[in-house]
Amino acid sequence: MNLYETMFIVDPEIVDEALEKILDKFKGIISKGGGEIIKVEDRGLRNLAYRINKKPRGHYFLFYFMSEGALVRELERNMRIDEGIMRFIVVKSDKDVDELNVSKDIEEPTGTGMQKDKDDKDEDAETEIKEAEE
Amino acid sequence: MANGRNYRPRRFYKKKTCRFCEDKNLIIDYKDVNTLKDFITERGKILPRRITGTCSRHQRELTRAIKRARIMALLPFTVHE
Repeated sequence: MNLYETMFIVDPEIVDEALEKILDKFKGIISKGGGEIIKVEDRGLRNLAYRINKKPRGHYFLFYFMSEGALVRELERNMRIDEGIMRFIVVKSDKDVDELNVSKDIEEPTGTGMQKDKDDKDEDAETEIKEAEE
Repeated sequence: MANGRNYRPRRFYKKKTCRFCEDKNLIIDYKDVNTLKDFITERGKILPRRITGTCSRHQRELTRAIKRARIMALLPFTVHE
């Protein structure tokens, strides 16, 4: 068993129930395949560094899960099939499980830091404050 | 000996040290875009070790992280003018 993390970008036009459905589908694949989901992070809508499928933005998600290597292959296969997934990556995490469970609150700054994009209209004000502080 | 004759004027420079060796808490992670951004040019190219002073081990990890970040569209492959 290893700790893996998978980051994937969901089409930003997929919202609410359709989004839930996709997330549940992959959570289901992990738990049915004998894996255990440790943590799910919604990293929010973010501007992409370049366009993917002609879309400038994407909805980022991050899952941490424990599983055998074979499940990774199965998960990747399914992500490739799903039209709603614009991009994905599965890597062995260098964190350890206990650290993840403890640092749930501490992890937050990374999440907000990622949204430091200039085009984000609502977040513009927040970003400016953050930059001023620095 | 003629040693003294051939000296070129020495330029003084600050010795660069690897930021990741200096600060053990600073981890290299493809998700940490703000740190990675310090190691790429405006055009999105990875800066060489001789510019940033990163040690070989950390440069290797950095390269891997930057490439992963590019795949996930967190960093650009290229920036066009």
